[in-house]
Amino acid sequence: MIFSLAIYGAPYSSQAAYSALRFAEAVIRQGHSIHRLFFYTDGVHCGTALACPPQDELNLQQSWQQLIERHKLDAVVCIAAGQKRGVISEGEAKRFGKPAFNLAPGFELAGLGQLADAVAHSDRVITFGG
Amino acid sequence: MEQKQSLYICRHTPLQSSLARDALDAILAAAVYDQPLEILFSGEGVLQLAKNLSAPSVQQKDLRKNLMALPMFDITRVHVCTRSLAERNLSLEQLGVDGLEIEPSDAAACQQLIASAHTVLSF
Repeated sequence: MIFSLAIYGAPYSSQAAYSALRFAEAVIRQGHSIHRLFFYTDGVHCGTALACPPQDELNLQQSWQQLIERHKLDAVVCIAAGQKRGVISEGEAKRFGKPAFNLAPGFELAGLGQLADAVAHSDRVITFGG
Repeated sequence: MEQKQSLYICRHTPLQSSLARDALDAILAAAVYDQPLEILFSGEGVLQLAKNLSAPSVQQKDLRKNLMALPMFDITRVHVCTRSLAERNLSLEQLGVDGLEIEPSDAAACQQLIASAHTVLSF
């Protein structure tokens, strides 16, 4: 079965982003495929490369990066939601004249059309944090 | 893109979280791709349809303007959960958005909406 995940919860603020990670791992483990991870609203903070949680806590952002890279997942951070919240790519940083960028490797910025596309091409779209 | 019926459930108050506005943005994006969709306002989300919701003085854009944009994308009907209205002592008469028909849905109708959708997106 083809899954897509829509993640709205910020890391650590709620269980949503962690549940999404666990769900994604389970989906892959059981032999299903993931068409897309779509990080929206506060979920965009999962895509930052700058998180430094204490060593005795799960590094949720890093866990996402590792999962995405290991399984070559399509991971989209909503560009509008990311811009608002300061999760931007190198290109966006240049475009807006910002001193830095923080979008982690493996993630890409794209529009809400990618969520519509996920709906069209997945058997199931599961929401986390809505 | 394939045509699959999707259901967007709006469950949050207009101002407390960004999800009310984010849901409408996602709905408009789906409409641009001509995806057939239904919208259900449920729980606190019914407040998004309240007539007396005014442009707030809290530095947020008026959500109603986004709602009024729906007919431009051929969305002229939305559903509202009547149980959620009753729980909040609201009546259908207190709801209204220009250009939108608001269809009352009881628990069975809400269940039917969810059951008949290929994809449910909850906001």
